[in-house]
Amino acid sequence: MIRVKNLSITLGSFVMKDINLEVNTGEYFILIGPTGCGKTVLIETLVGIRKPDSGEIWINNQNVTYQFPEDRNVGYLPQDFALFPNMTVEANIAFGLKARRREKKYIRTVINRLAESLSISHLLLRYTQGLSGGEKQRVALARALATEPGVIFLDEPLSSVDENSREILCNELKEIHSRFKTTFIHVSHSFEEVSEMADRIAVINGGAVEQVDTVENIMYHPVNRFVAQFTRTKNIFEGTISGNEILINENIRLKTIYKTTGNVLITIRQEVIKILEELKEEYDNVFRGKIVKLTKRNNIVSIVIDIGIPITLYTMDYELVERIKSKSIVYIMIPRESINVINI
Amino acid sequence: MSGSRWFVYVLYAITILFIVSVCWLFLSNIGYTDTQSVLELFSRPWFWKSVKLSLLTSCVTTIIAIVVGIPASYALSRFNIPGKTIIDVLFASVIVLPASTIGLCLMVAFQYEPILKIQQALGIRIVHSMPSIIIAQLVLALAFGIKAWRAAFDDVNPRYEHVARSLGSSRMRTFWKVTLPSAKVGILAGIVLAWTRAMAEFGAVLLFSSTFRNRHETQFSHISKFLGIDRADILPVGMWMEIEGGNIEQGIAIGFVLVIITLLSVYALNKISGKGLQTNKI
Repeated sequence: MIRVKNLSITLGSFVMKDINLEVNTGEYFILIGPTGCGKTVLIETLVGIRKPDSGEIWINNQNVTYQFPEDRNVGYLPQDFALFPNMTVEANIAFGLKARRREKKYIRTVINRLAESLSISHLLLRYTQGLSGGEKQRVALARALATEPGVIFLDEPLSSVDENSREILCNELKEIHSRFKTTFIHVSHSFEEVSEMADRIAVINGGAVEQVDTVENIMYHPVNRFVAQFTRTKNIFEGTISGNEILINENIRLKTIYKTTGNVLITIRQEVIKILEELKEEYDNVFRGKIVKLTKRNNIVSIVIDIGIPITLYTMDYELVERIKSKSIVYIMIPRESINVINI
Repeated sequence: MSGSRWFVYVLYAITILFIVSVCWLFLSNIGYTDTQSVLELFSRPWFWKSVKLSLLTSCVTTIIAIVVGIPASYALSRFNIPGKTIIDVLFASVIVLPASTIGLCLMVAFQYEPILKIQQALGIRIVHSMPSIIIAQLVLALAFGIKAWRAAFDDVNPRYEHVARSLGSSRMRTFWKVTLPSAKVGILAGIVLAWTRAMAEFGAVLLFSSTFRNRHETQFSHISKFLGIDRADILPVGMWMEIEGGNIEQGIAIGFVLVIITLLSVYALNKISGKGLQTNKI
């Protein structure tokens, strides 16, 4: 388990304050946030490249806060993988084992096992220049895995590859993680890129952790406007709640499962809103509106409907889209359990 | 004719003019010497002593520069040393200052306290002694070497070192196994540059060490005599002495020897750079 307690880091004028995180053994944990939010600074501090101002870092029941990187037993994959250019692939993988003065026979066994497992046996005698993005990633992972680290830190490993390769590399990472069962802490700036890989996610903004939760909870129950916007929630409104009814404006009243009072921020995921072809009495939160925009991207149709406020919904039901396209007025239903309410 | 074509022609013309000028600079001097003067120079014992002294001092200087300069360059490249900007300015100043000014500074520094006291305590005198040649060469060689070595270390991605250390490699092992090999082209270029600068040094050596050829035999140590470098000057000083003494032909002949040594060094430098890049492409 990796535990970060009240960690504070200063880098020039940039400050990260009171960072608290717990990552379970074997978990695929993702640190996510916009560029400049401090996620790379945090990961470099966890690796041991930077020193924190205060706080503690525990890796597998050992306080490593002031240990050098070489004493932490961690793996680190920076953005460009940083494969040593003066060594062959084989020497790259053996590097950590040689630093630990392991026997030659043992080193050979580990290299062969990892090379076979990661399908890089044919690359062992090559230098690292000229390897493809995927090959580089697998060599870097083999190098990190060779020393059996307690955790592997990956700093935006998918940022320098094209969109087609990204999906393949994502799948490879997830597959390697599940095969080796090592704890992975992966830094990314794109929610879409990593949402399918993560067991849990920490959303970071402006040097602070905004929310730590499962992908589903981060998407459907963001704790503030930033997390909702960062996870691409399209429907974010302010309103007033009384009992279980939210008043957004004079005409828009939404029923929710939450009971509270006061001003609230509500978030509704675009995937949960339904277009109705027939009205039933048991439905609530049904609104009549006008289609104002309809766009298709990556097999998903995005429809903006004006019900007094603009509501965006996503659908993959192309037949339904064809049927409603010509209609100027449609009905939509917002399930009350999918309305996320945040007190403000 | 288009403007682009004219622009290219002008560039070619300037380049050719420059190449011809440099060649003429060297070749024009041939007329002022002859085979007899060169052979006469080669027959003089002091000349070969000068060659030996120049090679010996420049090699020792380069070794000291490597031992001191490479670690210093690495520290300057990687650590937040206080006053880094001032250090940079100082090194740059040494490069651009007239070498004779450096020689003068060295002479003053070594003739007054506290360095004078240290010399007295050790029973030695540096100014106008043979070891002073190495000190004078070293100042210049270090300034040039550190400039090149620091640039070489700056070019090495620090992430290599971060990854190496995360894999359990100590800072020192990381330096030897990752940083230094990655910077080898720049490091070798810096070594050649430092050696060439030491070999060609004149002004600082003349002021700080003076000349040796006309000194009495008793003024030289047993080591100098054993090494066969007594009563000899480094080649640039030897050349100057010949010209001062009116032996223009022999002065020019020494100049040619220096030109050949320099050309070979620069050729080696280019070869090293080229070879290094090819190795990385494997």
